[in-house]
Amino acid sequence: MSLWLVSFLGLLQGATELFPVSSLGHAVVVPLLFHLDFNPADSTFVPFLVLLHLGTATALLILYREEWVRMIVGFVRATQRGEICDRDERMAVLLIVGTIPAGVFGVVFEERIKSLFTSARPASIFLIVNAGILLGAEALRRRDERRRNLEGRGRAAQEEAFGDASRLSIRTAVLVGACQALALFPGISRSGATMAGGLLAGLRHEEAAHFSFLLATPVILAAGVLEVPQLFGKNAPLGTYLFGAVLAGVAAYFSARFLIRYFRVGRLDPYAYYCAALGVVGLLVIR
Amino acid sequence: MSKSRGMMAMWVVLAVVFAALTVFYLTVNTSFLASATGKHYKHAVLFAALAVLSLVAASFARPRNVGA
Repeated sequence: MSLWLVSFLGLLQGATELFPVSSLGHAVVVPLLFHLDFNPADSTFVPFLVLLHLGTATALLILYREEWVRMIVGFVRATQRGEICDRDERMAVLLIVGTIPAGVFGVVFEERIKSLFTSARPASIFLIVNAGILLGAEALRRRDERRRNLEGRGRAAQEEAFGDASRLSIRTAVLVGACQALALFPGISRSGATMAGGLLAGLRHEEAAHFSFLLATPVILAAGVLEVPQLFGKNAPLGTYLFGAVLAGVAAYFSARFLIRYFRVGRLDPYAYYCAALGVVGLLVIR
Repeated sequence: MSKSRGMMAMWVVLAVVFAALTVFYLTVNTSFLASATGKHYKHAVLFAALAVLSLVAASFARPRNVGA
């Protein structure tokens, strides 16, 4: 792969991993749409993806470093005490129980699902399904806003009526985390699915995005770390790929910052329309 | 989480089961819950993590003596 292509794919992966638009769907559909010259079946492509994931996970760890430190310290403290006493301890437990379903589904089903859906057609269809998930979550949120008589108020006031992630029950955190498993299907967005789950659980948009990014970090990191052995022994151009990983990290960092700010008052609808459009174009153009 | 000796025992039993599954996936060529026959290190890592977390859950479920 050329440096240009590595840079493009790095930026694409880093940005689309956190936007609710499916990085895997983009990785399948976009190269075919633009006739990019690379072969996903190439033996050095897996090491490339591994490094991109590590770049994205590193960016998320840097962005939320203080919160992660507080949660890890809090979790150790709570484990020693045998009781959860503050917000950080509770968030740590919620993230752990929320990560388990995605971890189990990922390890058990990833290979089977990937082998079924690596072509552009199913990815395009799942992009449209992703649009449906996002629009459905927003439709239910709007219904909830009507029930709470929030219609006509400013978006900031509407958002204030909803909760933050630390108030989720363990069971709800498991269910929201389980939404991540949908991202095994190329075209379904991990962050989109968990954000939709978060909205259904009554979180503010900003909190749903925040919880989604925190939930994604261990999964993306584990997906990268577990594949690290793939980096060696395949004559992959690690220097070039590392550059792509850095770009993926930079794109992920700024995407996360943008999205957290956007979701203070923004909704998922624009991303849903984008996914639907890309899915339709993929179905029409790619043969 | 409810605290009782029974609940704690359940989590410990679960931890032992997960630890056994860890050893199983490290040592046996199998296709159980996997896409191909062979040793499955990712499965082993997953079950090892679940074993540790079950022990943590057991610690949370352990009844504490108050005012003893």
